[in-house]
Amino acid sequence: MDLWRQFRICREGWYYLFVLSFVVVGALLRDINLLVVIAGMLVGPFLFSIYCILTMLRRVQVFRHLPRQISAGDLLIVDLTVTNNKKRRSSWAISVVDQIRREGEKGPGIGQPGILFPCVAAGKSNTRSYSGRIPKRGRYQFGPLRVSTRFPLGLLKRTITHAASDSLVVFPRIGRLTPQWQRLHRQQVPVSQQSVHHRGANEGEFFGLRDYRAGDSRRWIHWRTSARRGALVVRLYEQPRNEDLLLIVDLWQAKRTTPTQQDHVELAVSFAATVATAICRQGASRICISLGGKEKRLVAGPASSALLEEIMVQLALAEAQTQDQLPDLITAGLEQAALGAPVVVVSTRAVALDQRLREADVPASLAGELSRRRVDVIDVSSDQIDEFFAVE
Amino acid sequence: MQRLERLLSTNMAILAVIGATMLGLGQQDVKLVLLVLIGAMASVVYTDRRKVFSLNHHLANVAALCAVALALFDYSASDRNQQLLAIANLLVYLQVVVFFQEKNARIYGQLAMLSLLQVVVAAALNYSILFAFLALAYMVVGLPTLSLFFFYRELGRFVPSPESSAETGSNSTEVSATQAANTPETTPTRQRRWPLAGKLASFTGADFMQQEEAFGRRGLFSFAMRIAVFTTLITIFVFIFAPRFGRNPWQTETMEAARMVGYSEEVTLGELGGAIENPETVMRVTFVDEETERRIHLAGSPLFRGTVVSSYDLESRRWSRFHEGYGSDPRLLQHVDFQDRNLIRQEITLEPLSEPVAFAIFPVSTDNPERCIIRYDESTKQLYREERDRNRKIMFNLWTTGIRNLQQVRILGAGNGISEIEQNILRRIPSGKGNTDPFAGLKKVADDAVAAAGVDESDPYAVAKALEAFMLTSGGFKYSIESQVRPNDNVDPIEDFVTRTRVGHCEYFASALALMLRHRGIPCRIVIGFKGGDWNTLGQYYQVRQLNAHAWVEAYFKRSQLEKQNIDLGENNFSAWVTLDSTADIEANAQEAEESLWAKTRSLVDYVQMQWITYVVGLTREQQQEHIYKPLEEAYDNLANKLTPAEAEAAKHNSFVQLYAFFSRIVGGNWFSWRGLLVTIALLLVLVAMAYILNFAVRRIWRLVRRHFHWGAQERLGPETPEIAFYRQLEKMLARHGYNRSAVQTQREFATATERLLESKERTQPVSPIPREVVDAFYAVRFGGRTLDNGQVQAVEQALEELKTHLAGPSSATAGSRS
Repeated sequence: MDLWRQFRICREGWYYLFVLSFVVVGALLRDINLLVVIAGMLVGPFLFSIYCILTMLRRVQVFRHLPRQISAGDLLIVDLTVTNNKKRRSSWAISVVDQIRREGEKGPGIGQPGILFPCVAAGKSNTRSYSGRIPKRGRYQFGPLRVSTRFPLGLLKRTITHAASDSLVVFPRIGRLTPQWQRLHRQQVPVSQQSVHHRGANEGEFFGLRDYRAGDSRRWIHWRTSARRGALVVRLYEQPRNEDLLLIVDLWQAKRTTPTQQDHVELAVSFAATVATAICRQGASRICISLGGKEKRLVAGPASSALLEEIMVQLALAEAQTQDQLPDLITAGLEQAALGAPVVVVSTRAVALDQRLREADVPASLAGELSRRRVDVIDVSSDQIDEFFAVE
Repeated sequence: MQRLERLLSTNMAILAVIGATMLGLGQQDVKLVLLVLIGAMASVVYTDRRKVFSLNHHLANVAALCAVALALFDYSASDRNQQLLAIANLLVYLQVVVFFQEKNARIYGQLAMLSLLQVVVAAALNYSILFAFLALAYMVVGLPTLSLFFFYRELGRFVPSPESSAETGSNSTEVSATQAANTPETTPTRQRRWPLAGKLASFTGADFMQQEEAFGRRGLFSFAMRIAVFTTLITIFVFIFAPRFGRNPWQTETMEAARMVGYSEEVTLGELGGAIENPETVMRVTFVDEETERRIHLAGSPLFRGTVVSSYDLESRRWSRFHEGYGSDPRLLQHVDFQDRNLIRQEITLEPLSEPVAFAIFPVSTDNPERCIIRYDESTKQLYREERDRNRKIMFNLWTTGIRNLQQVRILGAGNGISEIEQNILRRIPSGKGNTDPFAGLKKVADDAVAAAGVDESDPYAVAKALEAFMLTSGGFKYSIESQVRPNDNVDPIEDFVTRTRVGHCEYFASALALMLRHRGIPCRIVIGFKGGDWNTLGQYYQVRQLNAHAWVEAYFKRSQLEKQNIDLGENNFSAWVTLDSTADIEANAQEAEESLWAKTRSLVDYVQMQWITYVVGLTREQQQEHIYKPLEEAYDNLANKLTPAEAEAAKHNSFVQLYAFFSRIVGGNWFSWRGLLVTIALLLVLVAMAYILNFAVRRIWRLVRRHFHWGAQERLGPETPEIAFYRQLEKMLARHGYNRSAVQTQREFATATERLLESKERTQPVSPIPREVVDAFYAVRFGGRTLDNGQVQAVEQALEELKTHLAGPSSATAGSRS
């Protein structure tokens, strides 16, 4: 930035200059020496202000520390650290103003949070944080940081724009899956007896009791029940079940969108994010998400935190569109999904799936593949979503 | 913000009181000061702290309008001087009104501005040295106050809206003003199924209490004091070098000229009494030898001529002038003849007086008769100042030849002399009613005194001196300012004084001598002025007060009459006035006063005041040209020429004695001179710069030497705790780049965390293991009881250096470097 453009005379500075010029003119025209003294007393602080704003920001570094991830509506805490690398002089009244802008949006951005650092001693760092909430998912750009000072009297201001840009993807808001969803999901994926085996209390949830068999660990014996029955009974632990899932997220909206339709899009995304989170946390499954929107995206893989992050990023950036993408989404999803994985279609509209597929003229093989799977369609524009999902 | 506000409101109140005091000092009115003092105290207690009472916006506007109306009335009904006072009063009224409003940044700004304007107006009304002290106090209080005000405003930019705090769910109370436009607004969401629908982003800043910590420290105050020192230097610089365009030494006007008590233009016997003891300063006079530029302390008390009276009225018992008024016969003063080797310059600072008369040792001349602010009235035989200068302090220079060999010459050349008619007037003694002679006794005493002196009665000068000696010594007269009781009011006081009491003050002495001289046929007149004054040893000047008012006699003699006494009047004078002062004892009293401690203290204070007035308040364009610009030009042009060969040689050999002589010659011989001040400031600046450079060089050299000789590898890492010094160095280095160890982290945890962070950046990835390695070494030393050999220390140092280099890489986000 041009050095000259870094400086600005503040409003108070203009007032000050006005009085100063009044005094100087009066002193010179009327030849009143004491007014010359007063003029000198006014010039001094002004010159010192110039000196201060020249030196206060010298060898000052500013850092921003963003959280790794955050969901929409959650509390965001951003640390700003000002380090004064000067050997002797403290830096006073350093104000740091950040700029936050949602990627792709025009205008001044969603906020310009600022922090005042009253004094950063020489050779020291000072960290302060600002907090806030970002209600909309998406990618946000932080920066540039505008570091300024008006010290000591607020007459002049120097601003240095520090192009320290960071990016933060605000994930969709995570809601709560209802027991109804759990039931629906279990119906989709029957409990495999083969998958239940004893791996230790820490590796599964308590599932039930059965008679003791040779080879069972003594630690699994449920002594109280064994005593009641008079025969040894052991605890059964349920290994995380194979909850493979193909999630089709159809983010359709009308050309003339309404706030309600926007809500439906957000609900759909949030629901998908919540389901993905639940599955990925449990692990031992494969999940495939076929995501519609302005850009079609497909994310598939074994459940893991890395996959979850990828899914969340894609969901965060997803935007609704007006075309019917459902057949394509299903086609793409079926190609990547695990064999036999049930299909859940989350749509922002009421969908007659069979009709859609017929109309779309999907290949017979795919139609057959789909027919072999359990398919559930959840219409978030209806009250149906409330049975499975709640978000606050 | 309570603590900051309390500090700010208290400071602002103090500032306002100082400003009002400066204004009150200029107005010589204590009422305004009291008004502001009470208003400030009451507002701090009842409006700012207890919040019992405050003016709302409308009431404040009404009160301000009333104040403006009152001031306008004063303004329209006043003369020019009083109009300035009306403005000053308006500032005070408004300030009191503003005091009682609920404070915010705007109100504090108004208070600061009003206070500043008061000081500006006060500068136009003041010339006292007290103004300097108050201005200093104003600066010392004002700068911290303005800094506090700045912080108050700066934090005001972060004042939250309650909604934002609630919205973010944090306890903080700050939000950037720049976010004001983005303040979260929650649109009705009852009908919306998406709970975040309609919500906007909201952010809050740091906890305010943390931010306010800075104000509890002394740092801000000491910083303000640094500004004050800087401002003082700048003020001196601006004052010295700011060009002056006017030619009048004083533009500052006092509101009320001092009434002349003690001195009066007429002598009315029996009226003096206690008023003569008034110690108020009338003028300060410095005598400077024009040839040597040395200040002169006269042997004996100087007589400063003022008014000349020559006619005594028996009825009113008053000596008065023939001509009334001033300027009826104005004359320019004579142009000074600088060839005269006996020329003495009188540098006179005359206080504002109710009388227009000016005082000096005669004869007087000036270097520029047309531009001299002092005029001479031929009719009244006295110096006077113009009407416009009467209410202001004036400073002027007059030259005289009336001082020789450190003594005032008592003979004043009269050129071709006065006419016979005038001489007759000056010989006139008023006669009484009928055949009675009101001064019969006086005449007899005079005749007896002359006879007793045994002088040649045909020699008027000898007779005059005999009568003077009679009054001074042999007549048994005593000086007293107390009024004497006269049993018979029909007897003239002079006759009573000479024939009966022989106790009185100078006017009695002068009147008696004048009548005696007239009785003996010698033309004479009474001169009223001042005698002596306090000799200020510091400033080498006379401080003349009202109590120094004096009256003496001037007798007229022709050249032939004086030649008998071997008195030479020079070529141009054919007659002369001889000063005859028959009053004694005053000098002795003055001498005693000079030696007392109180007198010395007073002398010091007056000297400071004199310096302030002479060099600050009264600095003129000519003085500035002569004492500042001209010497600088000369110094610039002729500095090399000023060094004599011997001095140049001495400088080569560092002969400080010779250099001192050189600087002494530049500075001049006076105790104070502008040139000396400038040279001193320049020298001090050079010394400071040299000390700074020396300090810097010594530190650098010392560091290089230590590094070169490897003095104490451990010591390099920290002399006090060598085993942990390198770790401290690491922590400090990382902290500078934003990697701070939290209180709950162990050193190893911190190193591991930092390693991850460094790994994540391409620039620092190569050095990411270094923190862990250094911490390993630290653990080995600190907790394992091991010591590092020299090679290990060097390895650690090298690693730290490498880390430092990578941390401060080319893409380092150094704000300052970008500028």
